[in-house]
Amino acid sequence: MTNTLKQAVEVSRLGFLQTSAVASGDPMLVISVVSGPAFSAGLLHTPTAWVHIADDNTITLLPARSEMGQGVHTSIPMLIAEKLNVDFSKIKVAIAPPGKAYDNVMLGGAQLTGGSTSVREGWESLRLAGAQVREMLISAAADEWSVDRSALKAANGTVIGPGGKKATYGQLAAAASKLPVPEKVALKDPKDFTIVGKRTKRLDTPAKTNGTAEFGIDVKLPGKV
Amino acid sequence: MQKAWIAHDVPQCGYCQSGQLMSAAALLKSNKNPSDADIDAAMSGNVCRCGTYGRIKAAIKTAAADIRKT
Repeated sequence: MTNTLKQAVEVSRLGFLQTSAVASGDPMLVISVVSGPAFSAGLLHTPTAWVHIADDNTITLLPARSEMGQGVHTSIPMLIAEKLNVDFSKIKVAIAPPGKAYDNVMLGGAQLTGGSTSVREGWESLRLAGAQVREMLISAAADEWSVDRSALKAANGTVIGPGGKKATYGQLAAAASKLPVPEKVALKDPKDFTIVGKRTKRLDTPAKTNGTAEFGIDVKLPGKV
Repeated sequence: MQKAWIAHDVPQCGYCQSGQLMSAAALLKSNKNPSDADIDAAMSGNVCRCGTYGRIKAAIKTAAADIRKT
């Protein structure tokens, strides 16, 4: 086993133990991965830890909490998508890898799922994450077209400029990913929500219905006990 | 069956659902218009810890109605 792989296995064992400790109300720990990464054509760009955008405008949102039936692989993407302004029915979901950005501040700062914290903890930070990426995409378009940012609008996965100028998020993602993440970005007023608070089909239902959802018991790792 | 399952958003954790679907498919093979009691009897071997029984029953009825139409 290579060192990197060994570390990865050890990290995921640790993650498993931490998750099972928090989720210990449930004797049968279930972690399901609704869908893996890489659904897209072309290069994948990562403006921030929460949003991956491919050249073909496939947008993947990355919840960092385990989906155990509570619906976080739908509710977390809803929070990110709210100000990102994308067609929610077309987004893809992939579970986030281990990473500092994904720590749960309500559970001691580790990347944990539990205690009904997922949506409460992400209520502002995930909406901010979506808003930040939107700003970065608008800035990339403003640079490319040499126009003022205020002349641009972002809606439905596309930035629209003066004189009928248009670019998909996918076309802007490479340039946007090179920009600094803006710290102060206005959040959407809850009265303007179009996704959050609206009845939405769960994104994990098809995979859990057709047998392709991957559960903890399906995972095979080298040296797994 | 899968269309009805998705229409009713049946699964929560999803762990038991493959088995639920197989039992439900077996039921509808022999009975295209199952009553609540028929469904309870046929599905009694599949336990769902999330408690999705209400939606399972509704999805079976939707699937049965679809099958009767075809």
